[in-house]
Amino acid sequence: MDSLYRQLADTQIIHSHLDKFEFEDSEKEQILEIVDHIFHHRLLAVVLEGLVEGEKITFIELVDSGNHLMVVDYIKTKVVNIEDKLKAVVEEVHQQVMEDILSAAER
Amino acid sequence: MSKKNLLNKIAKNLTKRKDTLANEIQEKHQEVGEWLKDHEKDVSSLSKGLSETIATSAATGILLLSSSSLPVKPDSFITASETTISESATKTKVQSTEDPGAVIAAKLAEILPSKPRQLNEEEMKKVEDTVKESFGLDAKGVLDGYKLNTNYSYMGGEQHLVRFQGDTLARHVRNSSEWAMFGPAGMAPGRGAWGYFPNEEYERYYMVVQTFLSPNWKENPKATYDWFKFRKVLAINPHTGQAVTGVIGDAGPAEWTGKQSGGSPEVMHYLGIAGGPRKGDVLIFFLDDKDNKIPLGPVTRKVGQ
Repeated sequence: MDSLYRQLADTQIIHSHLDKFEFEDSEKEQILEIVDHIFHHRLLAVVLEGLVEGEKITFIELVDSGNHLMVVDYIKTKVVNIEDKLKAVVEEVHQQVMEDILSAAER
Repeated sequence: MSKKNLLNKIAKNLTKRKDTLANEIQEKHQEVGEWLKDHEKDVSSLSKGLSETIATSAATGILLLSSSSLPVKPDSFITASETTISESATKTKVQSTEDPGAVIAAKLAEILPSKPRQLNEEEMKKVEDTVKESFGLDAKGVLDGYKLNTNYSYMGGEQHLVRFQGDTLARHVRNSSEWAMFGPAGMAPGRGAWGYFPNEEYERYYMVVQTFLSPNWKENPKATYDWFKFRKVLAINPHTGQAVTGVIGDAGPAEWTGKQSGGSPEVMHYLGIAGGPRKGDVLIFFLDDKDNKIPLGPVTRKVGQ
């Protein structure tokens, strides 16, 4: 299964920029793997920001348990508009990644 | 700039952003940082786990749909002991379809005193007969010469107990419905009087009795301690007839609490006393089940072995 970021974001735009630099597929994959991590971190940050003291440990224990249903149920119960926030994170990460790629190429 | 240098620069920029985010999470949410340290994990493993969870949920349509509970029991929660118990349970034979709970509640009202206290021999015998008639179970007030300080007690709600090193509260429930019912009780940091439970089912349906106040304790504490260890018992809410089979998993409560017994979050739920003060009148009788055929959990029908 593709990573969540690659499921939700239009990574074709990133790919097309990387193609301009004539990167190999493995090199593009190397970059996209770091992008995946950035997205994971931002997503975690957004969920944690939506939780109050005491709920955060419960939440990470749920994540650690690997019970998908309970994690999602907990997030939907505790974090307001999680779906909208998820989409916002996708957009935000996409913008930041493009900035990082383009700024590197400008120097 | 060479292609390799450009690749390194892009990777460096992105890695810096990734590391900054990880540091910010640990600084802003210090309890999370401490948890990760205690569990020898890092932000990446946690955030990746979350992302994979949401990806799976999105792919299967769980996310973005209604927040109704999805009571599916993951295979990983099924233990060998549970399978054995289930197989055993299927061998039992349903002998009656009437609600034994309502029947037993009406009968117990005629037998029991108005408030919990130790039952006399005549009362014990009547309860044993009633349980046999209603549930088909061999419940005993005295078994192998051992007895409780009281068979009719105030039971208080207990917390989940740690089952193994690294156990977490979330692992004690099987779905979000159970999380809502059994999660709020929390998990005690220590183990029961007999250490870790040998299987999940024992912890799920454990009860607490004052072994140290048993008449047998004064005579031979070591033998009494051994005999009570995970002893199978039947608990009944005499007011409703709700009943649960379980095991003795801990010693307590202290005398000053005014309670004489305790039940796991699941036991309290199935006895119908998990709400409000989490306390109620409960009968506890030993189960004569030498062949270990009686499954643990709520008793809702009359069974025969």
